[in-house]
Amino acid sequence: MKKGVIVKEFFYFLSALLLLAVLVELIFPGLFVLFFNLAFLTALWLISALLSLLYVRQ
Amino acid sequence: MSSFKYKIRIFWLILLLIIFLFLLWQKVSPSGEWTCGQDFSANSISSLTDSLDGRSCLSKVTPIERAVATNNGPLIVLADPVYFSIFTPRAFSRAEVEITYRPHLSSSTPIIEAGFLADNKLWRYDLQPVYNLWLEKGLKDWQSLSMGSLHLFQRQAKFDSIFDFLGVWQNDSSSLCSTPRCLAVYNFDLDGFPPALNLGQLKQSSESLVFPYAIRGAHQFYFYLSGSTLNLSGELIDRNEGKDKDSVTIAVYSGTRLVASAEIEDKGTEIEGSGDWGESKLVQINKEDLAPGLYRLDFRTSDDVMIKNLSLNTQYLSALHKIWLENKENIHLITDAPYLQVKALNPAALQQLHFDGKVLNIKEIYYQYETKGEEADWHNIDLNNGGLILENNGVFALGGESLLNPDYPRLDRSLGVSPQLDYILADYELAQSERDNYLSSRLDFSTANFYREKGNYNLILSIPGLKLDQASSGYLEIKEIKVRFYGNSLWFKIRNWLNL
Repeated sequence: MKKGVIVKEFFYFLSALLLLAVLVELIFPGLFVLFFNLAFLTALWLISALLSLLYVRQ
Repeated sequence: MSSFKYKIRIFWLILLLIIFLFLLWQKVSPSGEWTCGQDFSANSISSLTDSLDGRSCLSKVTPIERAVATNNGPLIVLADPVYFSIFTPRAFSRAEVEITYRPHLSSSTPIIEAGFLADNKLWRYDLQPVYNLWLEKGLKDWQSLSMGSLHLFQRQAKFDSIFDFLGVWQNDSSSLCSTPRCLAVYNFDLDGFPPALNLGQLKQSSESLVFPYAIRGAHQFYFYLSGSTLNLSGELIDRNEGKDKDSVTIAVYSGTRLVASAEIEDKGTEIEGSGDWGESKLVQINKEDLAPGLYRLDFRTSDDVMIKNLSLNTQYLSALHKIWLENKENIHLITDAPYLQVKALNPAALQQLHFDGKVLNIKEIYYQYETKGEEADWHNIDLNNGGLILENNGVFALGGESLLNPDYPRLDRSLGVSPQLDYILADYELAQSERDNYLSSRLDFSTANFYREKGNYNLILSIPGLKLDQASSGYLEIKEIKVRFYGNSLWFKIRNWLNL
């Protein structure tokens, strides 16, 4: 139960972070990617999406 | 919502807010400072940690074939020039660049300079000296005087202070020289001092000179006016090869003072980028009550615009540093610099060029060819047709009777410490010695008006003469580049805003 909550909340967090990344890059190009690796974050987001789908099925 | 779920959501929302505030802090840079740098020889972090980080604020070097990044070692620069982009969250007014390097250069590549792209239209860089082999090692037998970063080197010790020298030079420079043009400068403007030629010896004539070739792109000319009236005319033609509108500014300066100008907007109906040439437009500048003397003509425009039949009421007209002619027939020019750099941008311009009778075969576009001439006051250039960009550190003219160069010789790789020189005046900070024979140089730039695209300044590192296909020209090892930017702090801006 707790694992499912953590996985889902992690997915929500990464989704919100990626939304923030897009907004920051639109307004201030280059600022977000200077401190965060966008490709790595996107990979994490995909993994969390898959995991949360698995937990929803269970 | 269960309390566990509630707690975890509050936690990541706070984390997101912290990230947002951190980015905002970086964007505002409240202290008014921003540092960006890279130590190329530092131990590389593990690849996993590397992948978690964002990109560096100092980009990788470009073009990549001109440099080699060694493993845990310095960056090796093999050809000139190389570029870096430097990301800053906002614009700053001043930049301090510190470069730690080990030069392995020869007398054919004695100078290292670095700078920022100041004007993206004319592609002009603001360069400052990093290392000058002549000033560091080549003038050991000369007597030197220093005043801050200003240095005077004398072949024979005649002056005890730079002030004394400048005073005498201002009033009676000819008494100091055993040969004409005996003073060379480096990174120093002798504004307000007499030009490096005797204006009294110039021919006084009110006849007009019509430049017989079409000139393409931005150019600067020196000319001498013997009367008090300026009559300038020419025909502008827009080739419409580029996608942007092509305005033209023609400005005439006496020293740094603007005395006449004309702005011509691009009102042509042809589509930009179509390659359809526009109709020729007559441009004229007539100005009276000018003092006879030396003037500079600035022709500022894009590479799309040509000026034909340029006419001026002078006998002396010389293009400064660069000339790009677009004629189909034979072209003859002279230059006062002993070398010539040549580049073709169009296959139609490929040809054989004659420099002092020596043949230079221009076989490739975009490659910069270089040739040296004989020992002489001026050198002949003959072309079968136009299209080539000719460059050097001197001037180009139609013939010896119209050649005019008021600039002092510049201590660079083409001049070196030549026998004609008795004095060298340089604004130059000597490089500081570091461990392992490394040197470090610090340069100060006023970056307020520098070009910045998508948050990036464009940094250039130039070693004129360093070429990939000439191993003897040497190479440069760069250990570290550090750039500190300074601007107004948030507190200063708030005080300014509140008028405190």
